[in-house]
Amino acid sequence: MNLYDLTLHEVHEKILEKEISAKDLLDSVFDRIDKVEDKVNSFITITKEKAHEAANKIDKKIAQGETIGSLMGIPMAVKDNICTKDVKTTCGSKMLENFIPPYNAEAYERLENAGAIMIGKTNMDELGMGSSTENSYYKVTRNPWNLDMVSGGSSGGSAAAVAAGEAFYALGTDTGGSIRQPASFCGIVGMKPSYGAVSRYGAVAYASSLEQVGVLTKDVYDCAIILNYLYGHDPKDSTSLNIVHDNFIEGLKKDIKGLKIGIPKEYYGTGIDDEVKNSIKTALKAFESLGAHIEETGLAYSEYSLPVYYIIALSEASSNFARLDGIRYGYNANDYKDLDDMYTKSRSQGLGEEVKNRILLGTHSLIDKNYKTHYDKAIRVRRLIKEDFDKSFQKYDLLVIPAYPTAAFEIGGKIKDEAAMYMGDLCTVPVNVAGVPAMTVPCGYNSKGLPIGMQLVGKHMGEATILRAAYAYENNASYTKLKPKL
Amino acid sequence: MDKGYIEYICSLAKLEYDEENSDRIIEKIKAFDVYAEKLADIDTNDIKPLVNVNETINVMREDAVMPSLERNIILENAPEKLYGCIKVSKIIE
Repeated sequence: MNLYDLTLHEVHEKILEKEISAKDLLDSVFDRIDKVEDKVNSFITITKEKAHEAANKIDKKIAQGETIGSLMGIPMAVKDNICTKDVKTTCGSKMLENFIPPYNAEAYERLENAGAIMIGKTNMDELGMGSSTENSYYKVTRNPWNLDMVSGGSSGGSAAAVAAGEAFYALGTDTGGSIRQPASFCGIVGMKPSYGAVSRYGAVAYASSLEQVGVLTKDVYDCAIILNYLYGHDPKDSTSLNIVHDNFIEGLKKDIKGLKIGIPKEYYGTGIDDEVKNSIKTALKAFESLGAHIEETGLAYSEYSLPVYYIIALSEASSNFARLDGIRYGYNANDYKDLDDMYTKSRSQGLGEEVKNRILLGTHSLIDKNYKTHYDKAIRVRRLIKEDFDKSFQKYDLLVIPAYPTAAFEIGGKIKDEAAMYMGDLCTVPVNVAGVPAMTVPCGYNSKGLPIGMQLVGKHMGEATILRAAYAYENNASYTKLKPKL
Repeated sequence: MDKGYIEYICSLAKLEYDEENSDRIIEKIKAFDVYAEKLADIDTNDIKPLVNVNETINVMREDAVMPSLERNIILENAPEKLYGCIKVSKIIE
């Protein structure tokens, strides 16, 4: 067994027992990167020198007898839209090709302060806009399970890095499924926390009212470890909540007898692959055998989640990305005649087609004549969608839905089936509209050997219940867990 | 909806208007509007807008001196600078 194949908590045990050093771990991960990165393309920037400096410091601290925390000396990766001090943060865009943040995002800083060692910044769809990481200005990330397939997106680089053994865990962001869908495609765990649970300070905003920073890990236990560090109020983000949370690791050990799980029928309709349905059906049996009660339910406003999501996300994007003006940072067109021309040329040359299209749709939704029917309407219907979820959680502890209607699709292939495309959005975006937490947990493989994932959705700030159920399932799943062959 | 409208929203969004591309954008906007029209099914007259699921407003803190970034550090990312400032084009005629 290679070190890079182990989980975060397994290598932590080895560091604790002084079996290995931070340097040993880093060497193992960089050997792995040397072997597989050319095939997978997980990273935009690799910070080898910085990582070695950090590992040396950690090893010295350990030698001096400092208490060894769970993250100390363990290599991890960060999505390239999360600011990292003195390390390029491109957001997968030409616009920010040379942007070097002078500060850390709060989520990353908490991990760094706990001794985490960043080894690089991961590839993503430009500014978070896409679901396959094909829409990066730099490269296409490939799926470690099958290099002809996408890794998902927009946190596709983070998911591929963890699945390929290039990092023990990675930070991502999720605006409409950008952690949960790539986690599903790459056969790992991915958590989108409740809105307000994790600071967004320093995460480059796409749609501020929908997105959260979250984590992609090899198993549920690792996810609980990281969430313990990420959670909590940050005065620098006024949307972060001041709520005390339980220790997520202690909560894992409780059983799930009597847990009520709702299965919303709208999420299992036409377009969901039979192999996905069957894997989830088998997983539900495992939940039942552990004492959970399963019942079919409904979320009446589900179909409205999609227009609500798109209108809000693109309106917020058109406003947020006004900051990409080529003045204070970012791409600047050299040849212009006045200020307006400079803005227009810098933005037009620095941003990709998909981003420009989405900014235009957002602008269209916000202008005076459309405001009532588009943005204003969407934020009113949003309340109904949230109440729909709230009502459901009065009755159920969790909802279980597919993470995506299919396993990973082919690079350049896109999904041809319109129903599957619709269901793809439906599986992921309502969670962001309602601001509730959701976690992708692997639950099997399709006939082509590609991973399938299910989502456990909890009530707002109900992460402990999600983690407990996911952990119980992971330890009792009936399928044999594999690793990608690279 | 016509090309003039696309030119208008491009100018609002500070993006170049590309006439050759404008038919494609018109199609995208029309499809988007069909999508948005679905929401008209729901009567929202008595429903209050929900901008932020936690409905936090006016988050206040004590006025306190906090660390901030040094001028030279901020300037490192600016494409054009002059006399220790970020350089911008003339905005007053």
